[in-house]
Amino acid sequence: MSGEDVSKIVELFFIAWMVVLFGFVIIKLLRGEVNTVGLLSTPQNSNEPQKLSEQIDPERLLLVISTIIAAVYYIMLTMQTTCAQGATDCWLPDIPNELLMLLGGSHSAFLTGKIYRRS
Amino acid sequence: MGNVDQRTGVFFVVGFLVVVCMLGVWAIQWDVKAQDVALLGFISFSAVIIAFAAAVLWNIIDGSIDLFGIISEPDDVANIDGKPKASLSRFQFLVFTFVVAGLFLMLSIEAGAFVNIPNNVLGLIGLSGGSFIVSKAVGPKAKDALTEVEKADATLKAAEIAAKKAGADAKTAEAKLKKAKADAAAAKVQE
Repeated sequence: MSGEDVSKIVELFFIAWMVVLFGFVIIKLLRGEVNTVGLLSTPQNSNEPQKLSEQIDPERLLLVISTIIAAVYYIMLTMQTTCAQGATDCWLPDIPNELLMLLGGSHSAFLTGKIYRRS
Repeated sequence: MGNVDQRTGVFFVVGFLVVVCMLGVWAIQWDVKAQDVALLGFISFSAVIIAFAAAVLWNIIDGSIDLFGIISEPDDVANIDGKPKASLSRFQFLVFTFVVAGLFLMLSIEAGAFVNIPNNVLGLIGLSGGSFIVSKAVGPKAKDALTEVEKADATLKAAEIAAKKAGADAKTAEAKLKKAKADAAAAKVQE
């Protein structure tokens, strides 16, 4: 058995490990075994911190959507731009500034909303 | 009990040294090359790391590592109907960690070397982390929650003291009333 064979086995193991780990977390999330209470809404007022508002906070929804868009877009960008020309020269692609601005704006809205609702 | 543990430890160390010496003798005897030793070391280290990874995965599947609170705030910071509140910043951290770590691993395996991480990707993770820290700073703090509990405790104690005092006052007033009645009765008798 050569070093290359061993490294192939280790690589395969880590790919399988990561897929099972991520898959397990996502399955638990979908089955409701991961706590998501209050992910999209905040308590109604500071006097009743244990009672959630029935309405969804728009800035939270915006941040969730922009996070998922950014994640999917980056995966697609990586698949399109890297390693297609040859496996010896791979790289993680740069994120466009527009996407960073979108995320920065969503974060600003989220933090502003959080500060506003707390005051 | 302590002696048994100590003896086991000594046996383990001595046994380990014997195995290492035997391996050394075997390597010299059979003229093992440096590449073979390196391969053996690589296999051993890989086995250890794989064992760690497998143990973590098994504990998650087994339920020993509970993922319920993977995106939750600490219990003493925010609590909704007995459950900790989920944190959006933690959720975002989780998603970006999956994406960046997964792609980094895949590309590194494909390239056969660690790939460069562009500054904007680091900026993305930094943005997420920065927002997480700021949201912690402006959100409800555990200390505040503790202060509230302390305040409630202090109020309860004050109420208990006031109740005891009121009870004592009531007894004193009752005693005074009885004494006054007795005095009045005595005065009537004298008249």
